[in-house]
Amino acid sequence: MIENLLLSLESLRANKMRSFLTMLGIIIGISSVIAVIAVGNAMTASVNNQFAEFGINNVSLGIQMRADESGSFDMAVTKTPKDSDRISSEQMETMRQRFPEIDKLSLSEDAGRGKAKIGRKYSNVSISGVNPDYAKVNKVKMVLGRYISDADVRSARSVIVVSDRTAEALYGSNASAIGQNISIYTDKAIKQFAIVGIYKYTQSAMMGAAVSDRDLETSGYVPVTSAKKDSPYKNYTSLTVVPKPGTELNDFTNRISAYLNQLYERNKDWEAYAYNMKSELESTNSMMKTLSMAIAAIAGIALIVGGIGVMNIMLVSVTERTHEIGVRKALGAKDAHIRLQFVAEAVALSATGGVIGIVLGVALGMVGANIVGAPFELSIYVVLGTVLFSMFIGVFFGYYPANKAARLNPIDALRYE
Amino acid sequence: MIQMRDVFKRYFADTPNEITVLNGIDLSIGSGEFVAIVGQSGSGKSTLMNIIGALDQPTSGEYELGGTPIQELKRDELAEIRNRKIGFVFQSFNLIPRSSALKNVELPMIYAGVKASERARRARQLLEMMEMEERMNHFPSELSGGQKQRVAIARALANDPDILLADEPTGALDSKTGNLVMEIFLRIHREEQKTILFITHSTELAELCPRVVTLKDGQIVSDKAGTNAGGKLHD
Repeated sequence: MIENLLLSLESLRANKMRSFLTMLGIIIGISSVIAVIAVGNAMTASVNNQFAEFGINNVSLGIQMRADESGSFDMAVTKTPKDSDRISSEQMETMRQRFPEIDKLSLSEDAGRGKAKIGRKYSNVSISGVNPDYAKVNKVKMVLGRYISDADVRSARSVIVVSDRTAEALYGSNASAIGQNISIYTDKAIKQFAIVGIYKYTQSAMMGAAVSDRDLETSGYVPVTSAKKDSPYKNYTSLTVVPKPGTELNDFTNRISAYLNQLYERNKDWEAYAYNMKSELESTNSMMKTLSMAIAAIAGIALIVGGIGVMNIMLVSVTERTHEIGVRKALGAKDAHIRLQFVAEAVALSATGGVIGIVLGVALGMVGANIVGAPFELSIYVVLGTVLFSMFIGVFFGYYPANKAARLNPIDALRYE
Repeated sequence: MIQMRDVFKRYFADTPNEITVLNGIDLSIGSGEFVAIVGQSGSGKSTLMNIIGALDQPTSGEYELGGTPIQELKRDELAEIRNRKIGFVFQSFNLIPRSSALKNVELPMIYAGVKASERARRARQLLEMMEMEERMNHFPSELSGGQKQRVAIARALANDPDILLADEPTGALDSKTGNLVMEIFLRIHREEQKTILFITHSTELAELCPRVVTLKDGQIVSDKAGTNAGGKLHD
């Protein structure tokens, strides 16, 4: 067996160019399969990350324009919900009691954007009115001070939590920013807040590094009640809830949607919605999987073409070495010896191609993952499976030529010139 | 050792192009004999040799090798006979080009399933016997004709066969080298008591053999002792 392998490697070395060209088919097939799988994994991981950033356990609640009988919206009229159409704090409190599985309830209210300035130093801030649960739901990481508290919300205090970028830009360091009064110039007014905390800014995976570091806009969190002070509405159009771990998400979403819509039964213009990203994530994942599989199948065809190349070259090799086969038979080689020799050669050819293909595929996959912007991941099973598969190709496509060689009549083979 | 009765070999049998190569051969060769087979080209010498060597099958007739009827054996059993009982030496050497001299000698032992260390030891010993110890790791392309034939003889002896079949082993060599090769065969016969069949065109070499069988048109036309048996070669 080992003898046969060594012999086959020798004959591959004797025909370097030919062996390489034959291997090329296998190399292209294997490397494209590996690269497609790796890039597919990376894309899935990247999409999952984006969903995770949004929060796959989050359930978004809110109100939307009611569709008419035909199921379409009247696009000509855009309406703004009246305060009575909106969800009030009392309604939220009742909902919380009706649904004890609600773990967190996060509110956020856009309160405009502006420039925080001290002399010539500035930082772009978008002001968000939030409640304490917002930080937990959106995974805001504090580096110094404290986050918006219940008391801040109750008393509608003029406090703000800014990003470390803002603190750095305006005050030079996080520590010197704490306790400072910050003035944010929006297009309508100058708003003043006391900085009570600094959070760590993390770049969203969805955004590239499009804006320069200096003009980067980061959020400034203020109590939701303070944000409402300038607004004509005191109720909410949307909120996010997170159920306790172990809650069946889709069921929870359906129940809470039914509950809210009951409240809007009599409202002609508005209705409530509740949705989660889980089913979207699942359908996106399954779509990505199908796509990856389809591309991998095309790459698989390349692999089969490569296998046929191996078979072709083995047939040529058998014809070329007919006389040698005759000599071997005269020296006492049984059919099985000859068959094994040629199968081993085909396997050596395709397995070598397979290994080179894996190296190339991993390299391509890394480049691809880098472009997609997700970490490169490849399971050892994929690699092992590919090596085994390429060896299988060798056996499968090598067997017919090998058997042809083995079945040669000794004297005919020996006389062949 | 070798028993042939009424052996025929025909090609394209039962067609208008039928060719009879062996036309009723009766031949009996005992153990340890040294037989030269002579005859013109096309007289059937090589076909006879191939049938004796279990490489080819007669169209009709009986052939027993060491008491075994060859016609009844399967492909693998024939391979085993060629491997264990017979050593071939060819006119064109037929060494495996990509293998060293040593590996070439080891080849029949690989097919016989001999252990690697034992194989190497025996191959080395045989090449030393052929005075080829200094060129063991050379490839066939790096050897002269006489050296190639000595490697081939070593290879034929690898599994200690009963019979050596040599098909014009001196045919591709100049007369001086041919004589050296002939001397090797005579020595093997003398020292190892092997049965040797030796096809040659050279009457001078044939007459050195104890028995000379002459073929013509597929028939044995003469079977007598060599006139110079046991004599010396002149250089």
